[in-house]
Amino acid sequence: MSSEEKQNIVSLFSILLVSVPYLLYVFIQFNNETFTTEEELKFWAGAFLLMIPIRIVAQILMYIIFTIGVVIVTGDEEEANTITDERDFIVDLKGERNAHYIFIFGFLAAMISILLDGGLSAMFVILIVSGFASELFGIFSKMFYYRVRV
Amino acid sequence: MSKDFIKNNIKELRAQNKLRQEDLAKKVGVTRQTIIAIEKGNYSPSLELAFKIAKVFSVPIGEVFSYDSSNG
Repeated sequence: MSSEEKQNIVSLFSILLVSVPYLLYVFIQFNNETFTTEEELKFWAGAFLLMIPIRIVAQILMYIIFTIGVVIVTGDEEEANTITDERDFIVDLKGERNAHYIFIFGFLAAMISILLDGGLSAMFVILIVSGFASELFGIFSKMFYYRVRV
Repeated sequence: MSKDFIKNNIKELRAQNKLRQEDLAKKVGVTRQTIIAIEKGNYSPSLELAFKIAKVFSVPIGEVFSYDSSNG
């Protein structure tokens, strides 16, 4: 397994270990409160904005732990510092493209939910889930491209 | 253009020149996994990388890579 594939698995764990509990916490908080429309907007805006630094910090920590782990296990510092070549760039680009397609579908679904009087909370939940799904799909796409062909 | 039509004989050239995949990867500036993918036909290198590989073996690029147009 290449270093880039391992990093994809690290990203996957980062999402599962950090994003999922955070989202569950947000949904539980939302269900326990009663909001006016304006308060609901502020709640979801705060949830989105808070998720960004949480994910950044989690990714950095996971990457540091991953790098230290690689050096300890292999005893080779070079193994942890592999270069990023043209194939890695292409895999990255294709993975991100696939993730964007999924998010676009989710965005459209969120807009349709508004048209069908689903309410603000339905729109935000769909947006969050599609963001989560797009990220997972991007990671799995990259793993496929590395394992099979690009 | 399907990647199935582009063939290469990098593995044979490496054996002739006693080069490991890792050595070739270092010489052309890519990872060993990329060399593996190229040899297996799972990745078609860029023109620049293809020329670099040919230069390592001191042969024309047509002796490293070939395109089988009969399948296309």
